[in-house]
Amino acid sequence: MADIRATSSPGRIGPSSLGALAWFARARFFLLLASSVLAAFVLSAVFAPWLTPYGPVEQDMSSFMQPPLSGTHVLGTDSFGRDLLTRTIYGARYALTIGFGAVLVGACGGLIVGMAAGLSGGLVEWALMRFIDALLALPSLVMAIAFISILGQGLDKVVLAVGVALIGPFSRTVRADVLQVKAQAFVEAAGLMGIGRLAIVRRHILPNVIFPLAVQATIRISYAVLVSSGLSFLGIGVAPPTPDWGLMIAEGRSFVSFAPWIAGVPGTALAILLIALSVVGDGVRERFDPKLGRQ
Amino acid sequence: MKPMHLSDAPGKVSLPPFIEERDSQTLLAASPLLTVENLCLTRGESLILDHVSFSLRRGATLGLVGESGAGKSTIALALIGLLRPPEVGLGGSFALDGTGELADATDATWLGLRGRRVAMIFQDAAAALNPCFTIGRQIMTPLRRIMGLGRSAARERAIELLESVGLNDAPARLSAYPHQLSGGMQQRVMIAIALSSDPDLLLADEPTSALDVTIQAQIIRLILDETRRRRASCIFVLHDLALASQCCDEIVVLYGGQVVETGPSRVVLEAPMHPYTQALKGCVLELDTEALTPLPSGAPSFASKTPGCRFADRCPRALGKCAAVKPPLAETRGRKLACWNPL
Amino acid sequence: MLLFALGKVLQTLMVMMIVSVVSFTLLKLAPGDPIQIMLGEEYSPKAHESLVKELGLDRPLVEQYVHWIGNFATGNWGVSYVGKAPIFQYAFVEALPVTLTLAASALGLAILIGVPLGVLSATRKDTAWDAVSAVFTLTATAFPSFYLGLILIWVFGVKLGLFPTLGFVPPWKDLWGGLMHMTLPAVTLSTYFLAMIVRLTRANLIETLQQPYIAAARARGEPEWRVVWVHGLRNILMPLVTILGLQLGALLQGAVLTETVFSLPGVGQMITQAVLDREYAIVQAGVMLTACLFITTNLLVDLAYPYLDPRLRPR
Repeated sequence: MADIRATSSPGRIGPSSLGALAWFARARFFLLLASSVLAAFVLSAVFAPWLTPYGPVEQDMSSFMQPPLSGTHVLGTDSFGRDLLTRTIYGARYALTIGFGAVLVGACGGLIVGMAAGLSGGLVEWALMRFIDALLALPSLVMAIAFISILGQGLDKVVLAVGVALIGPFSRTVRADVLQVKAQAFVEAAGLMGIGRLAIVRRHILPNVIFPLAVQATIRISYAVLVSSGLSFLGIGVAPPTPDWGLMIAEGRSFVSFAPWIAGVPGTALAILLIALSVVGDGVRERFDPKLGRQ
Repeated sequence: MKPMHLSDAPGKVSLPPFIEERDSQTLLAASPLLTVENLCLTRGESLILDHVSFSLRRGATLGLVGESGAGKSTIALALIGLLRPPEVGLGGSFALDGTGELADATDATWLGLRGRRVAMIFQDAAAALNPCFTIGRQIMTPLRRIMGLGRSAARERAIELLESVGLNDAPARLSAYPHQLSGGMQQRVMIAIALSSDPDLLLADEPTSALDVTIQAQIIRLILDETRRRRASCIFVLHDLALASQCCDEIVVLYGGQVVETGPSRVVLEAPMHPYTQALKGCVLELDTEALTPLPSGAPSFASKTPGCRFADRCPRALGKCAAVKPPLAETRGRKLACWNPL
Repeated sequence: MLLFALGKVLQTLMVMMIVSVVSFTLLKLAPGDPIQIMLGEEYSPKAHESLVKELGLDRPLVEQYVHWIGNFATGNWGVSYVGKAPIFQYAFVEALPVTLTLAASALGLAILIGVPLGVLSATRKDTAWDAVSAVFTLTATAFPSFYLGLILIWVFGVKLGLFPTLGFVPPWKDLWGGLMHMTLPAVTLSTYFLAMIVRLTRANLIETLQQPYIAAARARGEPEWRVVWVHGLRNILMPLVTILGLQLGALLQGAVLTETVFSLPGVGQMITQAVLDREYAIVQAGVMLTACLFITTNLLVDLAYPYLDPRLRPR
């Protein structure tokens, strides 16, 4: 029987061979490009002290607010005379550290809450569900802001705050995965065979939940980086003079009209990292999670 | 209303009364409504339809029969212009009485034909009705846009149509959504919509395959009655040979996109000449069947390079040249046949 | 139907309660002694004690919570230390409309431009246009909105001088001024959603257009534009609204950042400033307000489902 899905639509421009080629090339090419960019960021973050000509907080008021490619500073200097290339490379360190750290905190917390919600039943489950709803009732940034207000500013506190803010989304995905695994026949079979509940959890459910969680975690790193830079941009993240991109963008904001590079350099770096993370995340998701196409 | 022949012993391959009745009418004198000549359809590398030819008289019913994937629905979709370049390649020609060549017709031409002179009923009525719009809206839209009726006139006409297809409580049905109706009712709605513009040609793509057996007969009867009343022609796409024998004047037997045998259904089915038609007949489960003779397994190849008859590798009567040279469709003993070694 | 709505409302109330408990706990956990801050220079152990009694801070926690939630529900949100103004006035009457205007304009812009672009991408699938659109979508969803805001300020505000770059003018008082001031912020905030809507519309429309009822509509002689824009779009409303509903949090979050970039006195800026000023009562009010907003809009989205997809309506 003919496939009704393949019927023609009037006036439709057929797929051009150029377009189709562009699609395919784009997909593979972008993924490769993004991965290389990401690798470059990671490497420069790791080897920062060896790659940078100056120190990250080294001030030199004699050459302050120099535009890029003028004199000795390749990417220019900021209002304190600090070299922007150095600060940007060190910024990668902070961005990636916070990103990974926060996702780790969020994933662990989400694992616990999600498993609890997925494995329990009745009133407990309902209450936990509402608890997760409550966690999700606040956008991550706002929740992180609220936690910062208690914890105070600083690198570790940002990691913690953003991490806790991510527990909500993670616990929701974990719970959904737990429910899905629980419904599988082999879990029921294991139960019928008399294997203890804890053992079932440990041996069957947990492994099947951890893997999608890891995939989700990879995808959310860019989100964590975004939220933490946002916090720093707002002035309530890491404290100055830390070379955090968000902070640098905020510092450069006042000089946008006559020294746009002060915010421009870290901003571009942040944008590139986020895009690269996003492309890689999409690639990871397509590869490992073809069914769940949603956030 | 004539006693429903279809409701007793479904599967009995015998003469339904209305075909004899119609032979006595002057249908033979009328020029054909639809002519299809050497229609070829390619999708990528595959040749889905290979030189399909048949014609259809006004007021007659034609059955396209064959296995799944033989190309029956493809023909129907092509005849209403839903399969055209650039999705597929079309060769050969087909035309309705009064239109120009349709194989390369423009969007505008098709827009003028669809829903006016040609209409189609789909197999899965539930899937063919938009779940987000009420029945009323789906019936009235063509009435208002194509027939130009005003809102209240369209509503009245819609109620008329629903009642004529056997739906009671029509005004209530108008504000219902498709998922609120049963399968049989959904199909009736589809038929009502298809017939609303009095088309010359109705294409029915396995209209009852998704329905209960008890409803099947009613729906087929409905389609036949309505098309006959409007003097329209109807093409049924069926895989059920028994059903085809009972409701179609003419029959086209397809295998692998090739026409193997075609002619008046009585002639073809009582004394099939093509091995495939014979095999199909042998597969039909009748109430007094003693043994089934299934076809040898296999599937046709749609590679455009296959030169000969596509049934050759499954045919018990295949000759050497069958796979190499395609037999032409020739007139023999009251039907057209494409076979080197007929029965 | 009514039972369904009632159930949803009850669920919502429960969630609100949990949020309020969390908020209350937040305030209690905040460092610093509010009594000291409030008394300032007039501090003395006696004054401390009497203020504690006055504020009821020596009562059991549960009682304090009940008292607080009662206050909150009646609009008594306390007074700001810094501005000495009632917080309710500050948050609800002054800041909230700003945030809502920003959010609504951004969302409106994103839908108005995004849906047609998405439809075009879907109908021109696999062409060069589609590839370009895909690149744009990818970039725009990842791009940090606060940096984008700065770029827009630099290009349109500084270099081209077309739009004002900061401040809020209420459109209901001065339409033109309001629009001019809201343009850059709305464009900044809408970018992420524009990209998301284009992506969603494209994906869902492509799938919808393959459905049998679309072919049936064409077979009935519907012109292609109607098939796509009436039949197609109507059927993607449901998945679109679902996902947009899930993304509302991102809208509020983006609003917080955008407000700071463009110095709009909205809820986001209010909360940020309060953290810096250690005005925990304002932080708390802001958190509660944001949560309420989010939960209410989610509830509305949930209640809208049966209208969007007739199959969900009770028989």
